[in-house]
Amino acid sequence: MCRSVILWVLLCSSVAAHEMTPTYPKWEVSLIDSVHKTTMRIFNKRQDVKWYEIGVFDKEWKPIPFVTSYKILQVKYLTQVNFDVYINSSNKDKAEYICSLSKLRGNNNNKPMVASKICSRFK
Amino acid sequence: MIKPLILWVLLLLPFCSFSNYYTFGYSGNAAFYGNTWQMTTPILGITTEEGMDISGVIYNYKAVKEVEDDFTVTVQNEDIDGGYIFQETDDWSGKHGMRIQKLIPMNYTPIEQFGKGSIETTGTGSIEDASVLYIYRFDGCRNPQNNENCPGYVPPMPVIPKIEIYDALEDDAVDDATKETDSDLYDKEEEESEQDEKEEEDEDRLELAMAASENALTIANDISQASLLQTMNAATNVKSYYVAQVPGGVYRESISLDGGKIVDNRNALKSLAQDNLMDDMIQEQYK
Amino acid sequence: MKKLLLMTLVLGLTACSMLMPKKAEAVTNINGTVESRCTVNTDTSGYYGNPNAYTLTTLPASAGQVPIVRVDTSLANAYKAQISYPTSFSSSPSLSDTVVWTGAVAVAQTSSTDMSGYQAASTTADGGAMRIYPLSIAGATWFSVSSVATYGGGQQKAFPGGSYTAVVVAECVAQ
Repeated sequence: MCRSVILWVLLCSSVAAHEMTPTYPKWEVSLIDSVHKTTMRIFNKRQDVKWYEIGVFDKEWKPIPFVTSYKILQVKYLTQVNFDVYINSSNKDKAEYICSLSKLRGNNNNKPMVASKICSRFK
Repeated sequence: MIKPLILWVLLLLPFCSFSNYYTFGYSGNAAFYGNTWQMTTPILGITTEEGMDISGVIYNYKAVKEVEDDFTVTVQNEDIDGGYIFQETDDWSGKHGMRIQKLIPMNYTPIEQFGKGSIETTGTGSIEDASVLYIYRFDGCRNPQNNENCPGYVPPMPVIPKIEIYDALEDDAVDDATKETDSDLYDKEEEESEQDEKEEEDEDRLELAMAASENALTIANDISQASLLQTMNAATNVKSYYVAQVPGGVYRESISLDGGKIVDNRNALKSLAQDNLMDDMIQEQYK
Repeated sequence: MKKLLLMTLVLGLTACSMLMPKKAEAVTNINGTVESRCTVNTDTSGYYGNPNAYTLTTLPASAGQVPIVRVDTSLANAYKAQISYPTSFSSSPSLSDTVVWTGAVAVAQTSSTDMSGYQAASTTADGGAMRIYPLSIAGATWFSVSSVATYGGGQQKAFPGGSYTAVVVAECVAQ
């Protein structure tokens, strides 16, 4: 009953949402030698946001070098984007978090905006 | 070539058609007027006729309590067949009171199945700003007569007014009025009136007879009769009225009008054609 | 031209009729997976009120509006929510003096009574601007973020005229 309630809550969430999966990604061996990769997925339900910045961090939240097709991805409203993240094999064990941060455009009103950031963790 | 193609299009068109008579939405706050409510249109703000199904309930309230107190809140709706359609209990015992919002999903349930709704509490505490919304799906064509576009819709027959023809022969009042009067009633009255008249006549005769006997000598006297007649005639002398003259007069006409010569209207000759038209129009009504 | 249009229509309808099931002739599977996820939603966008020349605030009593962020998680103990009130303007006119930032993050509403202990179990970071909530229960949690900005460092200087925007940061970090 509880789980069914939860699913309904998620399905009926408001239209201003941002999510990234999987929660616990895993590094895979890529075609390129000494490079590992993982695949992430972003779904954008925020009508006021179209761009998301990707970042890879260690335990102390220091950035780790990585490569994606674009570091700032365009994710249109109500669309899902899959992207690959490539990292040097030597940094594989240091990488702790991979995050997506909404990029906000300035506006001319006095409204505090909400920046959303979702981080998945490597186990 | 084109004709077969058109036929093919017409043949396939029904397979690609969609029909959807559902509308979805939320009711108003059922707990607006209190913590118990009936599933009626004035409270929910939605129709409760056939075709209205409930697919979920969203409720929201603020629990006000102390951490150490035991307190439970139950949101529920009775089932008209007994028991409850749904019953959700929040146990706040040993917890901080705060605002909660929950969604209770359910299978599409006809609203006619819902009985009284309520928010029940037990223990020490209270709730504030309660809100209970019902998520609905309305099937506009479950009763095909709701909409003329529904499949199975039967156009209603027009109501023919019943005209009652008045039959005077069946009217009891007319019957009573035209009944023959009982002859015994009016014969009796006639007899009574005749008898009364006879009695009066007898009295008059008696009076005359008695009057005649008292004045017998006077009546027999011729001279006294003549003087009586003369006195009576004097009152009828109207000669003075024939001689009297009433002065009259002559009332002469005081107003005179100067005449003139009336000349023929030359324009009348021009309007002769219009007369023909007028004649035609008049004749039209007889055709 | 007409023939071309008609042919296109015929092909489209043919495809449509083939795709439309006339009746259930076979069992059709719908596959999917349920995985843990965290979703950050903006439930209510905030608005700064200007009760006096040197203060911008989201307090409703001062014609402001408190932003509310909702965080949904489908798996217990998988994520922690990190909510921060603003500590700087993301856009504003040129400011020559200091701006003092205060604010508060609190749990406004939950989808389960078991989450009532979230506020008590939360910790602060980033000088108190960020509050961290371990999401130990699956469900939805609403967080209210109030923010007050005062100009002049205690001398109550008037804000220069113009548009001011600040950012509330809501993070969902896997544990």
